[in-house]
Amino acid sequence: MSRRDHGSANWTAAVRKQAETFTWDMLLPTEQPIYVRSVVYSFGALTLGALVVVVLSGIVLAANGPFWWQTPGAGAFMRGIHYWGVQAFFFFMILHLTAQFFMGSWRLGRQGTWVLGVLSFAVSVVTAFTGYLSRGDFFSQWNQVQSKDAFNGAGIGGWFNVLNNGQIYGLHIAVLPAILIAMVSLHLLLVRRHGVVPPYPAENERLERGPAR
Amino acid sequence: MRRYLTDPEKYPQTRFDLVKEAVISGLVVLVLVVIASAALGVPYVKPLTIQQVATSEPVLFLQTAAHELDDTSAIAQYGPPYNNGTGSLQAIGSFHPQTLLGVTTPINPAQVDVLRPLSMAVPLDPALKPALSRWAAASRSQQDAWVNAYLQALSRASAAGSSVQVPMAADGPVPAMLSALRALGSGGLMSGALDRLNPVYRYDVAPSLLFLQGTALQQMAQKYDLLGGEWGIMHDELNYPGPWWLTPYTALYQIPPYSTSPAGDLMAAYSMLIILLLLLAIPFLPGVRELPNKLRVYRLVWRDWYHSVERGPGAATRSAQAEQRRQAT
Repeated sequence: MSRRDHGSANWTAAVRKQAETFTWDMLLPTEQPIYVRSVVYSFGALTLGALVVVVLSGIVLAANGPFWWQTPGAGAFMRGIHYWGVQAFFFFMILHLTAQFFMGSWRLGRQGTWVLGVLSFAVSVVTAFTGYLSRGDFFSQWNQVQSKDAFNGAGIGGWFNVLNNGQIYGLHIAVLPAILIAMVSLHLLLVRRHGVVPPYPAENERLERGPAR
Repeated sequence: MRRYLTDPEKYPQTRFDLVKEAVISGLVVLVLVVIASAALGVPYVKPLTIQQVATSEPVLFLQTAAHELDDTSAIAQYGPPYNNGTGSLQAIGSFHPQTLLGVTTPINPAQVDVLRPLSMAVPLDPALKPALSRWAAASRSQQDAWVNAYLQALSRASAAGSSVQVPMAADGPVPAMLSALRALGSGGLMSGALDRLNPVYRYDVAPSLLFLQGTALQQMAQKYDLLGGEWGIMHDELNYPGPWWLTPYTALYQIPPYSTSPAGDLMAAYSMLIILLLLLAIPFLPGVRELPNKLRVYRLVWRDWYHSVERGPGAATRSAQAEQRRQAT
């Protein structure tokens, strides 16, 4: 076996080991620690629920095309579901992010979960923006001509061409959602694998342990 | 890996159905957005067309076209990615990432916005041909003189509705050319003649949008209070919520130096990148990562847990034992 094969066996073995140690019970637990009792724990699930609504309504919009969603009636109604779904998505995601900050959710080896969450937020912002550009009304035109200066000035306008509806629409309905869904999936896997972060020590525990980090 | 998992002995477990929670969350959001879409509708304002500008703002149309023809428009001078100009080149000292990728979408406004559409219109209006030939044969300085004379005459033009009377001037073939261009515009043929970077699949609308991007779109945006200094995209959508999650970014444009510097966009973009990196780095930054522990907002989230641990049965005994152990060590 060549060195390359060894290397390959090592990373494939690592993937296998992950698969062996990651069980269905971790993914869909039937029990949770007793401290998981707050409306705050719903924000993540509601964000995910909104993402599902946005993706499904987006699939219906893409299947029918721009003329359909710009026409009053079923198309406009479905675009409304997509639009309000995005509003709900950001509303719950920002609540989730804020709550996780105040809970110090990166503690005890959960830094990766935080990093993926923040990156998902950043990708969501760009994905939503390409949606505004793809709508095909005056606001799209205005945002296109205004934002071109921002992207050009930042140095990425030479590739990220907001005046090219084909590129922006492709990014909006395929590339960025694929990246976002992959990130959110990994984020969820990490949440399930590590379990929900325990509370900071109570007052009487602090006496025992000293200040918590 | 076990170290990540919560200790079942320390933290008693309760029954939990994640599938049920996920389904309920999805349904709650679905019901909310269906009600919102049905009751509140969705924002939409018809796009601005070149045809509208050509018919309702004839002087503005002719001014725009004259500047494009003479390479004195904002886009003609813009810089990368459209050309090698410096008019809209943003730089902080010698840092100008705008030039990094070079001219990737070359746009020659005189050709794309005026001369090519007119050459396409020659079969419809054969009288255009001599005007175009005269323009092509003239020197650059002659062309500049014609356009300057035309722009001066245009400033004294009388417009009534969609018709406009431009006084006579030493402007050579320019009036004939631009009148023909306006006829194309008011007939609704112009954006089709402009957006031909690929003549079949017209996904790239840069030429027509760049034609509109100056005063025409600005005027319409001003009507809706969408200009950058008015929080622009934030109250996109009129009475509907806009992308309010961009508030920190839009806020930068309201304060100096972002609001005053010609490199405001560049500064705002990289400021947001720094903020994103800081947000990502929170778990790794000593001091910052301890903030939640100091702020103690988490006690609201886990109030039942703390109540049971600190005041529940046996809490006093546990505290006393802990204190004894602490003193013993």
